[in-house]
Amino acid sequence: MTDVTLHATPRERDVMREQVRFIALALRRETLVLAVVLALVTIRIVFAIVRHCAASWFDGDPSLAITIASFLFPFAVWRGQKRFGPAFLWTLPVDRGRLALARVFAGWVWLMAALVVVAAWRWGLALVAGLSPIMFTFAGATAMYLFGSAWILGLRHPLRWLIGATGGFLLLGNLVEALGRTPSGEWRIVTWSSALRWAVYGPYGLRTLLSSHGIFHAAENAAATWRTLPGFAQWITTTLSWLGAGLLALWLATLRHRERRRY
Amino acid sequence: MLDLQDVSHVYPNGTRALDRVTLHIPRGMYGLLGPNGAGKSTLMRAIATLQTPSEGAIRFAGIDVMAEPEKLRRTLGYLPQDFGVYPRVSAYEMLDHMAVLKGVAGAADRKATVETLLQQTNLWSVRKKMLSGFSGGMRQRFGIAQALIGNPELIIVDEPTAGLDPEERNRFLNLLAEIGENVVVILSTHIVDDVADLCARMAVLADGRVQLEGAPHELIDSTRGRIWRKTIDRRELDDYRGRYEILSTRLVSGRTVIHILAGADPGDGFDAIDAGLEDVYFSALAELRRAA
Repeated sequence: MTDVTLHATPRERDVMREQVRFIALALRRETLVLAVVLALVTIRIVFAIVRHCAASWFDGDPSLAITIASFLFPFAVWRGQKRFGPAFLWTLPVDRGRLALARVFAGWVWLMAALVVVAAWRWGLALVAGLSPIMFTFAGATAMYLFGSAWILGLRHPLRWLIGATGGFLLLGNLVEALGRTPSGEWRIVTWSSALRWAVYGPYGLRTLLSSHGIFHAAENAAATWRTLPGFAQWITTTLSWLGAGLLALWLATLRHRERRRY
Repeated sequence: MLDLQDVSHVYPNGTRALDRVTLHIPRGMYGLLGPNGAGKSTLMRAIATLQTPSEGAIRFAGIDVMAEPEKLRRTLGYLPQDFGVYPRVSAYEMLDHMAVLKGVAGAADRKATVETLLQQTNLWSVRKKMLSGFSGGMRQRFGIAQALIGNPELIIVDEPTAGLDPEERNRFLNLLAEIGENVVVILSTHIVDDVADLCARMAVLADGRVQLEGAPHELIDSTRGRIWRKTIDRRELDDYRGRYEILSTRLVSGRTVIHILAGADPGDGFDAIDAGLEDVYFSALAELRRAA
């Protein structure tokens, strides 16, 4: 029993809703930048459509850019937030692990919203141009967002690790380029390790995860494309596996944010 | 109301930040004085449920703080030394966000709470300004505003006036004094005047231990007749250090004024003075040095 007045603890749904609202407020600048970029690119594409040379705008595969953006998005979601040590927010009557997950969820909501806008924008412009664009997979973006969130929540210095990893990746990239591809089109360096080959080119590898764009591309060149597409069962297994791995990584990362108590 | 019983904390690197701290803190303003590294912030974090001490017990109004931290958080307001949350949102938006996370669910309640706190902390005119653009004093006032959400009965403020200009400091201390009438407010600081002006009771913490505890006027009385002052030439200072236990030195108009601790008249031109809280504080630290 206590003789002081305890105020109510916030309800889960209020915390969730509030995080979604608050992340939107905190990301206003990024939203504005995205809007300006889309507006500028739209102007260029409209000019290209008028001159009947817009095809190159829709030929490119945006999956890599979306993957990178989805992985980096948690950096914007968590900017300015002290994640480790005695962070001030942990004195609020909300479990720190749940609060962290609510923030991850809120970030995902806005990432999906942004991707829907980008997809609709790309699709709409392509329709105007009379073309069929290559699209990207939302599930792949979600998996990458989960890995990015796990990165942020699991590492004390995520930016340093990111810079280090990027440096290593670029070096590796140069090596990859130098070694070239096999006759079947696979990067030679990836084929040296059977595990790596499986993770990238295997039936449930990264290529399958990011291959949903082919479904859209198939409209244009159906016969050729459908032959190279993974089957639906294979694609869904791959997607669920990667989402599961992302969730597992996130869960492991949130273990670092558990409440520690003596009794 | 707040009881700490033999609270100790040892960091993984072996540093003993708190050493069997036992305190009873009643309602009202309570000052916690100590030099840098005394263990004040560790103690504040332990009370604020941010850090679990290695040993001991903390109870607040029947709540076992270490067993039920979430319960204490329902009546806790905490202003850390480094508030640290400065996203690109306005003061109003941030306060509203924190009100939700503190369980103020109703929109009308929340609006009333946020607006009242912004008025009380004199931030109403800058409520739409981004927090990242706030000055140090404005941030501290915002910090106290967020600490007051939900009418907490335990408020912890850690080094709140560090870096504030005199006007901001005065405004902040007046605000604390108003709040501290009905709830427990723990003011941790190394600025003696802050405690002297505001606190009904206080403790001096050094080397992780409580060196002194009591009402400021009682502590001042306890040193009555033991503090002596003399104005000397600066070049004589080393000589005096060798002969007396110097508590403090201050340069006034190019001359050095020294305060020493002595049980009887030391002669040598020293005058007895009425001790201040600063003398009490320095004498506690001097006794600690002597014991070491």
